Amino acid sequence: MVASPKRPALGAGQTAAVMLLSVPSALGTAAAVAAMAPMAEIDAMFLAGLSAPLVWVAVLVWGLMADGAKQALQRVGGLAAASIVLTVLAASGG
Amino acid sequence: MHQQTRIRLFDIHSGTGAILGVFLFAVAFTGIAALFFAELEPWERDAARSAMPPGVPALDAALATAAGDEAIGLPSSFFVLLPQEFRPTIMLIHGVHGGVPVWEEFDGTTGAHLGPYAQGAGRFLRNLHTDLHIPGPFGRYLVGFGGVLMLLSIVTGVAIHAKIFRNLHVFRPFRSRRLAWTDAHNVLGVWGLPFHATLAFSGAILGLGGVLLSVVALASFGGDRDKAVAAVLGERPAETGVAVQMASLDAMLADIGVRVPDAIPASVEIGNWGDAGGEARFRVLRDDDLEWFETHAYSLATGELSKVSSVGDSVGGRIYLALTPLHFGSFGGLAMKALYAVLGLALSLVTASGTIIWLERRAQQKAPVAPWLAGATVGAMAGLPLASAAVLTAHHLLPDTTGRVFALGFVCFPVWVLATVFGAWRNDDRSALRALMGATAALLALAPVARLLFDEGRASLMPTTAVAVAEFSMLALAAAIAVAARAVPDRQHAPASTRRRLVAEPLSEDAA
Repeated sequence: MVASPKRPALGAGQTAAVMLLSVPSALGTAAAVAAMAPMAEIDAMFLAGLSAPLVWVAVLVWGLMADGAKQALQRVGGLAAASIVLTVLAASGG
Repeated sequence: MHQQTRIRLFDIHSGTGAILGVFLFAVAFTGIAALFFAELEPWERDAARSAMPPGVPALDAALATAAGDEAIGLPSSFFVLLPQEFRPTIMLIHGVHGGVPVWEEFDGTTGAHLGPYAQGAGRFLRNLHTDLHIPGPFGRYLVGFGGVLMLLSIVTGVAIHAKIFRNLHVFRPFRSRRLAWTDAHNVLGVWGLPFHATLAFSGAILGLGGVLLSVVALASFGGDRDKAVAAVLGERPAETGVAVQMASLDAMLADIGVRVPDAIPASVEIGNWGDAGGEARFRVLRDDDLEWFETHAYSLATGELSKVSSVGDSVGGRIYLALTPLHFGSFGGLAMKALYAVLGLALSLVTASGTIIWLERRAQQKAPVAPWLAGATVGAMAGLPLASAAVLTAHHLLPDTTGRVFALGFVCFPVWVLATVFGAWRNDDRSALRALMGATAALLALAPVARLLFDEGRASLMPTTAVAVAEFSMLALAAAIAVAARAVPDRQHAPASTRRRLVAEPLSEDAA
């Protein structure tokens, strides 16, 4: 439960939703990095895998610092949707 | 940093600790026991107390014994763990029964069959850390997610500290209880920061590595799964269907010893056993090297070396390889593990103190959580060391069979639950903490007694140095916990300031 003065509180369910939506965001972003990184395939794979937890933390901070539940879900949900599209494109070699 | 931003980061930091404090504590604390699972083997089992094989281990003899034993047999593919310092036996992992890998143990010098390997307290506690004993990969993923949340706590914790270096030396134990816990949280957190960040990051990668690398591998290799697998594990020879005599694995081990004299062959993976396309892949490492790891592949038909490879050939691969020894402190001997244990204990205290600070803060803001919930939280945290001590003591009380690891679960989890219920029922977190710590000290001191009374090698008081070191450590730890338990103050003896209803203390106390 994330709450502070001067902004609407995120309830436990909304915080959990942000955490859940951060999963595809982090994985998708890492996959996109792996597909587009200008280096050998195996290097790109390991470096993208290693960067994924850091991306994940950044996504969580960004989502949880939003002004209220609506903005939080817009931020993380939007990133998740974009990441899924990027992942599908990357995995299909597009 | 803008005050409003800091308040929001503070909310994330305290919210993560409040909701997931017990979970993060469990992951951090079980990590301490996981450090020593290999060193505990001689304490657990007579077979692990024998001397290391004088030369090349008797791998051919062990496999011949297995092949000639109808109860074991050799499948087409299997895995062998080679003798190591604290387990000088050969371990054959050759199948799965009831979802659990079947392990058979052989003498490292003669290759004689010693029987099925019965996992004990050390591996039980290690698996509690790596997957919480949750079936399938989900436990590992959950622990990995714990690593991500710990990273989140660390990042937000650093960001909210306006005067981070001041926290290196500020500790005021005699003013208020909340202030004492806050200072302890800050001092331990700041001193251990690089270590805690490394553990959280490496834990996140190790826990989530399976899913992370699968996703990014598909992306890197344009969706070609076979190409991704081959890039990491190497191309595997195809089965030919032509049966041939297998070459000597002992000779291959001797060859590795000549070519890489300072390396330690840790394991060998066998594919297509009995076939002309058979291959033996030896994993070779160095004890004192973080990221040196090679695979030496030999043809089982000809006995010739076919390839030496390492994922450490790539920069990312080298970092990835370094994460396991970096996480488990397995690169600098026992002294390094002792340092890891101290820093791991600090991490456990940081997570526990974070939760206690939150409870105290709620009480001071006149919005306390229910006393039973506060007691249950303390009971769950103090109950985990108690459950771990119970597992160690129960190890020698249970029969030495493959079912022992399941029986240990029936010791560990009920003790943990009972401690949580006890904390909730006691309605006084301090007396509950003191009682649970006292019980932990008593059970830990009983573990060496249980070995003396029930161990298969009980004729000897101290069979090996490793056993002596393990038991001395247990007794010393029990004494330290007993002393710490006596130091927990009664509520009526607490500093006066903590008995008053204080107005909410400013954020700066927590953040400064």
